[in-house]
Amino acid sequence: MSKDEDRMVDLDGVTTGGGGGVAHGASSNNTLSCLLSCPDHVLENVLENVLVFLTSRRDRNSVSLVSKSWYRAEAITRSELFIGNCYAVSPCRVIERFQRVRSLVLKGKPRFADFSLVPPNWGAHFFPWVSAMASAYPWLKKVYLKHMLVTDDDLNLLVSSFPGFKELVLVCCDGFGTSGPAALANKCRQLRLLDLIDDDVMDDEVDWISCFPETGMCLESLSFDCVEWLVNFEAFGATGG
Amino acid sequence: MSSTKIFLKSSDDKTFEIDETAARASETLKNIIDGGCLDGVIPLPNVSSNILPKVIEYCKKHGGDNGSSKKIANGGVDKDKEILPDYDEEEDKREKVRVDELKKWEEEYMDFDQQVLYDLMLAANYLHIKGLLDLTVEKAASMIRGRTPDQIRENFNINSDFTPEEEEEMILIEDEWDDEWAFD
Repeated sequence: MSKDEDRMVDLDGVTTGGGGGVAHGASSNNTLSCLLSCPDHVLENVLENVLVFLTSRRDRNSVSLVSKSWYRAEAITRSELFIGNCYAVSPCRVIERFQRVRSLVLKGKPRFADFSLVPPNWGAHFFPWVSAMASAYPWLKKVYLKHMLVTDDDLNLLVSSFPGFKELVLVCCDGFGTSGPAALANKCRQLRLLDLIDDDVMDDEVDWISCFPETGMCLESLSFDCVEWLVNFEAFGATGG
Repeated sequence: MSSTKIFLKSSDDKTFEIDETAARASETLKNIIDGGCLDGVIPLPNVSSNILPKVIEYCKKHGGDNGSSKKIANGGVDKDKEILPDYDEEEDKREKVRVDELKKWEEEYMDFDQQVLYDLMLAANYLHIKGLLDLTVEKAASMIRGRTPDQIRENFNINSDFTPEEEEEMILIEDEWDDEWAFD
């Protein structure tokens, strides 16, 4: 009931307010009259500010279908990117559409990969993604990968491409050894979170835990249930926890 | 305590009076005042006389600090309140009352139609009044949340400039981007 009332008031506001604005604006200020008569132009001025308050993926998708200018504004302001299937879209199209991505969620193989039902060379390589984003998103801070093939080279590229990198979560990923996490520990000075969950990690005989710097570390959370060998807890104690 | 009066002239040549302390809630006005180029009246060619009183009302309420109720709830802590425990509790109570009162004020203040919302957003943006911009922009965002593209267009009186073919293609693209393995 009250919602219907609101709606009526809203619509009235647009017609009377807008109409009044035209009549009044035409006499004094052309820009103003244009602004008042085309509400979508008014909104364009502050649309980016409005979109900052919208974080859900569904809302953002709806916004980008409203009009061309809304599509552009949404693309500029989307900082969190979710790609549920790495083959649904190419990295090229992603970096063409979104310019300011700070956080990426990317999923690869289907879930039945957990039961060895996907052949070993099936794909879901992280490489094309990390190499495309290396130049496009220098401010990338967070990466969450699930069921992806990630190599040590990929992790090295990630380390060297994103100076402000903070969070890496790898769930059910394979293709890398302990030297990948070692590079992160060694060079990612801003690293806050490193989660290795149910990954298939190869043994490179690298004492990767002792690669964390002894001082000036930002690390708040570290988990590596799936890494079974060569964890030097003494070295970890030395980093100050 | 009375402060210096500032005069603001709207786009349609009407003059309004505001205290200097209140005017400082606006970054733009603050810079003009501090810049010392105050020449009697400040002209605001982008703000009409319909909306300027509403802006002044906000500035008066928020005086020197330009945050919304949320900000004041976190900040504004008295530095030496830890010295006296009794005082601490009292101050907390007063703070709560103040925040509640401000929230209620904001609710009433924000009760207006859509045209005012547009004008107020533009004015807040132009005058750099962060708290007011956040307040109005959040209201606009709430008119988008959970809505379909059609509903958003209706809410904001926007005409789509996509051709029907383009729109169909766009929907396909969005669906494609949303593609996810079942049961994942």
